[in-house]
Amino acid sequence: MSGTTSQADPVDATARSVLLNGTQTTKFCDNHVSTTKYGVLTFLPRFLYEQIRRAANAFFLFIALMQQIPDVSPTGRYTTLVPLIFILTVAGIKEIIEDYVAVGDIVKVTNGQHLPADMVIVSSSEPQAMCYTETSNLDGETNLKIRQGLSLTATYQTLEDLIGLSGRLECEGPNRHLYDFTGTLRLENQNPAPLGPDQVLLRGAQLRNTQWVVGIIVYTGHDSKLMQNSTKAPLKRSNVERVTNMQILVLFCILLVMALISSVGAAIWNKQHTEESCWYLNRAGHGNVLRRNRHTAMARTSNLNEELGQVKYLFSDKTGTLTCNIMHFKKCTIAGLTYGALPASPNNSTEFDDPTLVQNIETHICEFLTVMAVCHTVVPEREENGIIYQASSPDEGALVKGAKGLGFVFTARTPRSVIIEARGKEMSYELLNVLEFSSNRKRMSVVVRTPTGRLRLYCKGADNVIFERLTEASQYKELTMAHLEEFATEGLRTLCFAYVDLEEEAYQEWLKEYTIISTAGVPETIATLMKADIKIWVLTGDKQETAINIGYSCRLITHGMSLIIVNEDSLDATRATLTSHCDSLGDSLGKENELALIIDGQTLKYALSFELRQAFLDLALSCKAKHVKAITLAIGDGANDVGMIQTAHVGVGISGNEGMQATNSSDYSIAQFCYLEKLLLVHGAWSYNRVTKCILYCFYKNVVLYIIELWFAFVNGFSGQILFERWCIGLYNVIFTRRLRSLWEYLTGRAANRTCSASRSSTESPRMLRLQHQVFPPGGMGKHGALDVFFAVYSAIWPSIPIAPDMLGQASWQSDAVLVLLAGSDPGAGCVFTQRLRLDRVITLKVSCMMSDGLLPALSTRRTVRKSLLEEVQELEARAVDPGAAVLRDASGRSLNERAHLLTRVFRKAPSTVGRSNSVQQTVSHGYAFSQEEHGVVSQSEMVRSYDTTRERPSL
Amino acid sequence: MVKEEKEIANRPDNTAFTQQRLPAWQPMLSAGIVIPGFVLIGLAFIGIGVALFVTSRSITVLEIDYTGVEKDSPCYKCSDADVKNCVCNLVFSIDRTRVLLLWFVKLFQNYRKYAASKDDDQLSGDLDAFTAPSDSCSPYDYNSNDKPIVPCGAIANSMFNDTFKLYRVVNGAKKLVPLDGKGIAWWIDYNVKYRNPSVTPLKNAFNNTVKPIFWPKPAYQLDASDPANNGFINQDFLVWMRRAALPDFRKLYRRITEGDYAKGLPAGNYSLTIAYNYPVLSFEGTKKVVFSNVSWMGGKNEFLGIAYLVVGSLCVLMSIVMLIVYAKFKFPEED
Repeated sequence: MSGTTSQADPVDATARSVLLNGTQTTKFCDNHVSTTKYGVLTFLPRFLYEQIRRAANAFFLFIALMQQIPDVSPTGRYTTLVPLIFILTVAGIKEIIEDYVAVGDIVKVTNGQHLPADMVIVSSSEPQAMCYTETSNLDGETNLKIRQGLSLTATYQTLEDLIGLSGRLECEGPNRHLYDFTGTLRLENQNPAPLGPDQVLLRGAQLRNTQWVVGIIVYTGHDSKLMQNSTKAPLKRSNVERVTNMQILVLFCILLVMALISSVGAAIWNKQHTEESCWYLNRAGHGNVLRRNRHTAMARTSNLNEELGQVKYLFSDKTGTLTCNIMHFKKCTIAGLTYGALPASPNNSTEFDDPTLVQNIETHICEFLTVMAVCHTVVPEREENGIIYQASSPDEGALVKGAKGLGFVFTARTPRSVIIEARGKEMSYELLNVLEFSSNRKRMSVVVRTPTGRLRLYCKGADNVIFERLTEASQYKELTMAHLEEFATEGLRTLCFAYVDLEEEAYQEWLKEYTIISTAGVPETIATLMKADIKIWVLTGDKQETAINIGYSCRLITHGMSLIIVNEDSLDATRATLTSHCDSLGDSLGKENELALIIDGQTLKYALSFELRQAFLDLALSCKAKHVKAITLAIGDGANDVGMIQTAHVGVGISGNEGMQATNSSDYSIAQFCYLEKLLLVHGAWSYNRVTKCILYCFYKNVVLYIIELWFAFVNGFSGQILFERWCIGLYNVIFTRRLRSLWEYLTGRAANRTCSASRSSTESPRMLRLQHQVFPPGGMGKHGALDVFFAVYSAIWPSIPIAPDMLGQASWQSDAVLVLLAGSDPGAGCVFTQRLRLDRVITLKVSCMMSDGLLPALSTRRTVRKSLLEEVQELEARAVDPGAAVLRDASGRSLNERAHLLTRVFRKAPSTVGRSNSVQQTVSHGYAFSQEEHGVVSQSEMVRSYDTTRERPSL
Repeated sequence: MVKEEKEIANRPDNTAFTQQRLPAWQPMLSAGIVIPGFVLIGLAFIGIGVALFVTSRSITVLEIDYTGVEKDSPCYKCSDADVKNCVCNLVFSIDRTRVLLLWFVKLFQNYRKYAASKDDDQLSGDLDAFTAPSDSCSPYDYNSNDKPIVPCGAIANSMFNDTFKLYRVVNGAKKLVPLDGKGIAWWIDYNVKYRNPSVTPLKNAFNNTVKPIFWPKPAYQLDASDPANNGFINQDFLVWMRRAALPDFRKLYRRITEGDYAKGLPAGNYSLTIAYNYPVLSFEGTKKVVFSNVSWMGGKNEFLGIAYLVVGSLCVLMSIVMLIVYAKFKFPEED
């Protein structure tokens, strides 16, 4: 029983008292929770706010309102209304409504279910009202946590018992502290019993390895700890959008100036050209100047796509995100021989498949497999089609499953023994002692009596811990070490096994280890992203030890890196540590160093306090990067990552094991961590590239169009006459932004809007990402010509396609006026002049326009003046050469492979001085796979002892 | 774990297009292409420019302002708005020319309300629009007696109505030159956009309508000499209805193609008799007649030739600059 539980009655104002099996006297918040961005009532104002926040949209709203005036509107009234209704419908569907439960209800939750509300455990299917929960949604920790009901209520296992339950439950009011709970259970005719956090199951957690649990609901809906921790979904806007907003404001000002000029001009013109003098004009009801403003430059970005291409900092939730919470037994080395899948295909096979292991079977291997099957805290559960292993940590489960696959099946557990079926033969190992895992010991051991009667200690743990404890006489030490090294470079997490016969005084030991791979592709992804200069900060709810291990196995931390571990208990100590580290860095402070900073939550709290924030940031940036004003990306998969996802510029959710909370609050959701690479480097880069180009192009396109219109205003008496027919303008805007390109892609099968192909572009050459940040000139050969072709075709085919009556007669204006404007030559010379003349003029002008477009690229390619990497890659791609070499060469002297990386370190001085600093730890060599709840409500050994899987479990 | 079937259910089509696997395409502008390209374009343009310039130089143009602002102008007497049915006579000598154009200055056919002031339905022969002209014609849609005006609107109302008679003066004797008014309108206007209602005689279609206020004759009597050249497909009407984009514009008036003049007007002395009806002085406008030649490149246009020459020279110049830059920077890096 936990000692943290308080006897004292919670008497503060918010405290609540819950009646069991009765009507509640107080009204509690209901369980309805909606975490969507919009609610039914909040939708309209919030939606409008978000839309109007974009200057472009405010601008369009204004235009749309103008369009509602029938005389002014060229495009009709429904163009703005239809999308609005569409989005409204989508938002409505997104609504999530939870099941309805109320405070005081007694509920039963079965295995695998998510808990609907915060509840106090009454009883469970497991011994002593124990139950396992996975709280990764709440805190990100992946190992199962044991919670235990009060022994007072543990026997209330039948429906009658529960109905008979009467009394009162007093507890503190709703708060956001996940690990705190104080309450008192006052059952009738019983002494009050204290309730602590160990008796509470939280909403969002998942019941695991437990058939059922019965509990009393205490907090529901927004009162639950999960919801108390959640933050309001923020509205996000991208950087490009912000810039665009500014540009649109400028544009709007220009537009106002234009309108002003036009109206002043009109006033003057009207004074000069009175109605009497211009007898031929019908001046009554003078046209409005505003009409000119209908369509103007537009640059609209509907989301954050382009931001993806600019990410500089990546915040990742470690545990589930990086590992997917799935582990597999992949490889092992036993007595100097390695077994397991070929390194070439680590991602394809998830299971250990190496027939040589079974073929070679001998004592060492038998012993190895026995350890795998015996030394753990897994509980087996028989189902119709086999055995299900209930492991509190995924690595233990992976091991037992691995052993099962190799013929050593762990079949049952009794309080005193472990029963395995070794190659068809049932063997019972008497469990004498369980030496628990802890992060300090970094190992777990069991002392067993083998079926043959021998007393033996099996031990598994981190390599350095095990190696320390081996005898001098141990065989295969060097060889095993080498193999471990090999495994670690492949991104596998490793663990060592050892055994000793206790009867014999001499420690005759030998060594084996197995490895577990974290999930597919993660190390590669991280390595690639780091090559692209994206800084990765991992935030994790797990233990420091595990975090470092995963850092290693994900190649986030490489072997050459020094680790700075900050782990202090007080503000002063934190300050001292930070200052000393900052000092020891000296000149290299603020520059990029080969350092990894590891800081625990408690210390982080101090470090982020106001006075230390700057020092901490300095230190943190010394490890990672130079820029603070950068785009950040957060990635996570659990509900505990929601805050992070929402705060970062770009939030990416991983839809998968830990539920959909992260996905729902994210900006982008992907299925696996490794897709992040493509998301950022391919689609982000493309998107950024396209959006910037598109914005420039839109501005350019519209400037081209409306400069002509402005000029035309000067010659038509500022009357508001438009030069181009309105359908022409509409089609011009539509066709020259989107359709032509799609058509082009369909026809040619080549994508014109990419800097280079996906396969060989950014993923192979992550530094390309940086290239996307240059501003692209709005050049482009086609548009001048395309404009004319468009008008020529349009005016020629009009008679057979009567789009608008107004079109009549205007086609000639268009070709004339464009020519006149561009050529500056004599005005519309009647009709006798041949069409050929027009085309001639067009060609002249077009070519002169194109010259500027062609000149620069031509000079910069073929290494004439200064070829950008992008251009180089494009060239290589055109010649069907792998651009990888060019990219490597470009990496500004920083080579990307490991060896060269180490070589450069030799010549660098700063990190070595840091390395001597006292708390910099360089001893951990590889990530090892092991994590288990420490100091749980029930200790590992107690837990193991309480099970007897040979007997039936009670059911409700 | 996410079930596999689920993933398959939401899987998009696996095509190169939807999965964005299309190979990238970018125009690769390398010096090896661009420099020769510029030279070629430059040379071609210089060639075209020379041809255009020479041709343009060979075209003779005679412009005669007959607005009558100056006192010594033969048409000065007609510039007074109170004088009706005024006729003035211009005498001049020209080289060989083939077309007669009208040139208007400061006449705003592109004024917004003016430009929209017509009824396209009416002009395409829709009889319903004869009885109820479109609002766009206002205030020239109905007359003061509420009778519909056909053709309605300000453009039609302000149709140019001066007429010309050209005489060749040989040894003091005036000989009338036949002017061809047939092929002066745009093909599309004549054949597609403007249609007379299919009522014979045409006059009947105009029952219960009135002619435009400023017109002396109704639309079906525009050309007394040729019954087919009346109504909305009258060539002069069509030319006028095709509004000019700029306030300073020329419109084709007649071609000289007939009889002895099949090769245009021979050089010599001519006399032009003008029935001066159209007032432009009130808005400080100008009207001119223009006698001109046409060549393979159209009318006289020196700018075009110059533009080609300038652009062509620039291209060549650029290619030289690029060549220098290329030669200077290319080789040191070639190690």
